[in-house]
Amino acid sequence: MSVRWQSLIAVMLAGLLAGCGGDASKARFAENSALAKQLLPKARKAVQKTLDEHFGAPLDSVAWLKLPVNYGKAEGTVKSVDGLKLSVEFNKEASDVDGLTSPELARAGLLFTSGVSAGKQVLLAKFDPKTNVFEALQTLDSPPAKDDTFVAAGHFLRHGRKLYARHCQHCHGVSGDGDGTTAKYLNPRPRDYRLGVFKFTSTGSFPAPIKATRDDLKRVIALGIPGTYMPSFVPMLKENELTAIIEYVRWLAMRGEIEKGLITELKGEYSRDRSKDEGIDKSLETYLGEAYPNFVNEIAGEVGEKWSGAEEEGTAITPKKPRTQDTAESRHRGKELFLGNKAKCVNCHGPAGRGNGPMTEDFQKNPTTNEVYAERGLFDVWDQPIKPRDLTRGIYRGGRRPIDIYRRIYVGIKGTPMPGNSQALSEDEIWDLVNYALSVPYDSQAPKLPKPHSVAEYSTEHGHAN
Amino acid sequence: MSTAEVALGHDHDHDHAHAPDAHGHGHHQLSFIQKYVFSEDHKMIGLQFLFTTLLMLFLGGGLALGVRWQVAFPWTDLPILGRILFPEAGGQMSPEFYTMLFTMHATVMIFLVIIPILAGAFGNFLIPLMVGADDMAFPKLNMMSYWFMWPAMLFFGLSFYHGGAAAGWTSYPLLSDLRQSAPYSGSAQTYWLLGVTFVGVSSMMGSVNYMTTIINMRAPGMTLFRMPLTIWSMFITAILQAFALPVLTAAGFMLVFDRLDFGGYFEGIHSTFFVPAGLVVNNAEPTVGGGQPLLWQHLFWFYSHPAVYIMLLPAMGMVSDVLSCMCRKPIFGYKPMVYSMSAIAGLGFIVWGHHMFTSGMNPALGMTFMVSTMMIALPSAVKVFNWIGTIWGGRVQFNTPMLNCVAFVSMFVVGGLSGIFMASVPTDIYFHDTYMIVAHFHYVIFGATLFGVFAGIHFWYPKMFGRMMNETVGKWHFFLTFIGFNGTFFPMHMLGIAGFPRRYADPYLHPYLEHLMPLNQFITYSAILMGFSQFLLLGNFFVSIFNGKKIGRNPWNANGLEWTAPSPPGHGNFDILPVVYRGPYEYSTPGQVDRDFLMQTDPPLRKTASTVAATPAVHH
Amino acid sequence: MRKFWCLFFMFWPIAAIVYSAMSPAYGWWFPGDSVTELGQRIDNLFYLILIIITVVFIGTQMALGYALWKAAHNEDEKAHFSHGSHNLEVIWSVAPAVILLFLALYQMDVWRDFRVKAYFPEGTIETPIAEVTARQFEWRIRYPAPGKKLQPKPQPDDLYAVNELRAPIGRAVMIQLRSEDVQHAFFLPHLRIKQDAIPGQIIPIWFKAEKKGIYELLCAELCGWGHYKMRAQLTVEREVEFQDYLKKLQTDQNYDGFPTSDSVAKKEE
Repeated sequence: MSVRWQSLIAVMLAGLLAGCGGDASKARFAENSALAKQLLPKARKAVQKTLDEHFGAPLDSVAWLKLPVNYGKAEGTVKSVDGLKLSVEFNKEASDVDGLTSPELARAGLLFTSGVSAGKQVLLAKFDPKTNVFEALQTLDSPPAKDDTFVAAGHFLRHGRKLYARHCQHCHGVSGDGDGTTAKYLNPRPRDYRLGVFKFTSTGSFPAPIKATRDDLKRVIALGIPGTYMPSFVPMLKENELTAIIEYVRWLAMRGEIEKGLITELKGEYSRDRSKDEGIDKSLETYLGEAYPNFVNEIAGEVGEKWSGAEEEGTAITPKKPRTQDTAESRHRGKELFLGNKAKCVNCHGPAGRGNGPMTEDFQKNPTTNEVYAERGLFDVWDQPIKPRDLTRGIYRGGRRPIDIYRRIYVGIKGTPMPGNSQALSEDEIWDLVNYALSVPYDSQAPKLPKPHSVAEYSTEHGHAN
Repeated sequence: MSTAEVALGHDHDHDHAHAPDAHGHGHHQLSFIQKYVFSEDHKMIGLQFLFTTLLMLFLGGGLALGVRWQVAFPWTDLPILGRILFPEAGGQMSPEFYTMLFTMHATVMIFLVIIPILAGAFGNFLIPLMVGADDMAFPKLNMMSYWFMWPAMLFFGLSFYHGGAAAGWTSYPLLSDLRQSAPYSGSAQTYWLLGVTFVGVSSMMGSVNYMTTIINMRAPGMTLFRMPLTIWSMFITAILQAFALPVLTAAGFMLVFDRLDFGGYFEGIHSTFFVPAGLVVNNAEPTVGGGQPLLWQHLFWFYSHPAVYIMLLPAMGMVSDVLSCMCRKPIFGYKPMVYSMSAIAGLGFIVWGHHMFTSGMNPALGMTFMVSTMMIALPSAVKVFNWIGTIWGGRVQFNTPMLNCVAFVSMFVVGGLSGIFMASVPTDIYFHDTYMIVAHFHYVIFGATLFGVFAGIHFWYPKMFGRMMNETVGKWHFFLTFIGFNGTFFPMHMLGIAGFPRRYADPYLHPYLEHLMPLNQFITYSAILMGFSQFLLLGNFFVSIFNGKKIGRNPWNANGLEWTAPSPPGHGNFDILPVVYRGPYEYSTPGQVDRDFLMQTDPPLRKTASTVAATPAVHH
Repeated sequence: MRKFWCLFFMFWPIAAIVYSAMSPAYGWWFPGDSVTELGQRIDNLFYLILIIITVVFIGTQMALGYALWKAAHNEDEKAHFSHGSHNLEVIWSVAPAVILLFLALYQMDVWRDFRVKAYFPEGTIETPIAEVTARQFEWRIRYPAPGKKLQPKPQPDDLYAVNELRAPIGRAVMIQLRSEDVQHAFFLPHLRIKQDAIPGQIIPIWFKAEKKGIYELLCAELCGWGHYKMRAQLTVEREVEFQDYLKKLQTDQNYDGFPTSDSVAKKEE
């Protein structure tokens, strides 16, 4: 906060004198500057330009149809064409949708579905929701005729953005970087979407982690994440609002991933430390003119495929066997697994499940860079320190249903050191662990392992539990 | 020549003979710093308070407009500041910034405007002048009481710098206690508490001074029941301050001890006065301790309810004086006025629990506090009736001070009546922490006190600077402020009835409040009108210092002792030590031919048969 | 100008009264009738006080305006000289005192019925239906498993919900209110109920909703930046529906990916 006040004092007079131009109030997507600053300034600009072109600004967003985002479809017919001006009519269902009647629909673009321009997309500069008149950005090669049908995409995006700005932005940040104004006060920090990684998913992690499904995101927004500041947004948000927000969040995540992909690609040849190299400017120019546009499409396709892949049938992990009956024996087996070498839960979660295992006391290695962290304890892929769950508190961030716990053990928690155990453990073993984990908060139920000096105690407890 | 005049002449000589000893230093040439900065002259200190608080009024008002903006136009571009503070989000403020805004608005208004403008500015300026003393009893202490406002402002400034306290001005633990529960107000909350403590030190120094001065330094003949009601109110306020403040200071230190965390070698104190055990906030370690959050509420309100009267009584006193003068009529029921102020002060100590009806304290306490709270409405009602009685049959002069006084009475009635909803526990269950409360206390603190202050400023301005403020501008200021004020706060009653909670950054998330947005926008427009009208006051105030019409000693034909002194009074105030023959409200005395006022220093009228007969029965 | 100011001070109370009178029509009034009998009694008290203060408001404002008007047109050379009237003082001290005392005593029973445990309807204290825990910034609700009693400490078969409280219609029920972190307040505007949640305390609240529906539940005590976000709802439904809801909650909570999961829950009991 203090930095902001300093800037306030410094900028206030200047700002008042300059009168603050209209553009100054426009919200903007923050650059992933930690990565982008490694690039040559020109390469950096090129990435920004690409992102501006395909995603726009928060209040002026672009629906890039290459991405598997449900931008919301509004179908309509052309009424008349007058040069650049297209007078249109939306069909009835579409005009009822919130967010459609916004002038911001302009940059959405129209995709014609019939007539000479069928299959072509027209970018638009202006939209007047009162008269339903669009203005095209450039002259049309083959102008559409009356009664041509089209699809306008993007009102979900705009509706989503409006809701996102109201409910999510101050924590998750304008660009979804998890760095909104409130973010720095929260423990754990709000999710940074730009890696495209979400922790609690129903989708698998082996051999490679699969993205979160829309249902996964919806569950998190609807129920919140217990034990964190992510609140439950039901009943605050209605069903269609949840849909719009989810699409917007997915869109932001893809934007972040594409940004990262572009930077990583350019960094190979055009990193900042090569700025003195002979002919680097020229080579960059050539690259940007030739291979780069293809690469942009390529990476968008790659990212898009991953996200649409998550939505395919059967990606959600479901147990093959129902839950093992929750008996003392099962819990006991669970506890043995918990403490044993096969599941290695104890390494992080500690012998009593308090989240204080030996790993938390040690220096860990960053799995991607292979560098040792400067501080003790575990870290997630966002480089934030992270604590293993204290199972005694009865708070389960990914949900408390048996299937949720099952998935946590089977899939793991993405982006964190909690691994998926689909290969290491059998179905029965996972269920035993589930039964044990769910019993930890309730002392009388938790089976005490027989130890030489406490056999008698165990047997009485055991008797009680039944 | 009557005997009285002989006596006066004698006194006159007496005064002159002893003057050099009485205030010897007054005859030294004072340096600029001694005269205007570290001044020990009560008038200069009063003016220092007045200038400071007037400027703070604008800061507080600005913060209020920020609050209003968010409530009326949530998550839109906050004008001017939004673009500087939140450029990325397009000027949309963050919710923790909003909580800071209303917290600091209340803080600035209460601790840096209302309390110091009444006791500090008017108390300092008026008390010696009105009791006929040449200065305060302890001039150095008086000087320090002003300069202790600066550390207070410094700490509030630091609090701003660190993001601003954001736990509401009531600072209920644990939000104000556990750092992790409101991390954005980390050190800001601690600085806030220190700031409040220094305001307390300043007030305490003032109140000791006021009590001593009023008890010991009255002019000859100024008996207690000849004191103007302003002085009575300042006296009672000083007593209230002296008895209630230590509790707040103690509570404040307890909270500071709970919060202090030096880090490093000095670990901090980590007391747990208000912290129960086992709370996990923001995934920090569970709290240890056996404290009780309700304890803070008891301690805080034990000060802050009397503080409401600290923020009101002096204005009541000043309005009584102005009203009587402008109606050319004795105040109606002088003694009942004094008694009712005393009753308010006395009862003020046993009503704090009405802020805690929904807090979960023992229900039997709720019943007790309901009865005492209902009873405190009684003296207030008596005062209102007496003010109306004062106007009744008067010859009213409709000038700016008078208009502000009438507004005071009119607004105070609303504030008092809406208070009954809160005094009665069952309805308070519903109205607690809704906009009904906001409407109520703004009607009392703004509607009553601030209009009283406006009246006081216009009334005593000639005495402060020897010049009049511009009447036309004064009336426009009153007119616009009155309209803006009622447009802002009257609809808030309706918001309260509709169950609109206080301190919500975005109330429209709740469907049953959605339809109240247009009403809130109307309120915000009114607030903007009211806020910007204050520039009229500011302009009038500063321009008149140099350009106002020059006047003599007694432009209003008033009776008080202050009007016998030169305008502005020199060092030592009076050129002759005043002698008091009567109370300050002898206007339109029958039998007086040339004028309709009898100053407190005027010798008694020669008793003729006709005046004796014409004097009506006087009830004391 | 004198006339203007007199009229000005008489005009605003009239404007205020007119504005207040038309407020209910614009929806600037209670969010509907109270759905509890106790709430109706609170509303009745509100209207009683409203009538009294309206009379006093009109009386004092008109007296003020009239006094001003008369005083503005005072043709006498001097104002009327009077220091007051003992009789008047006695009258206007005693009359409000009687009214205020009456108001205070008249309301005791509503307060008693709402808060004093000994007067809670029978059966409410023994079987609280849920524990509501406020936390930054949501309401977490814990029900006992169907057929069981709510224990002060969490039980393995307890049922959990977020931001959704349900209660049967026409039956007096009690909930236990707790706070997990800072102070919150449990506010049901449609039921005219408000109670602070104090960390470290468990506070019982009872209510008997008479009308089916979904009602807002919000926080009324500043609890941090997300204070305004603590929106939840109270669903009042028939006893059967309520029990069904609990059963559904139980089934959901024991969901292991197989539809027969509630058999697991049964075995557990």
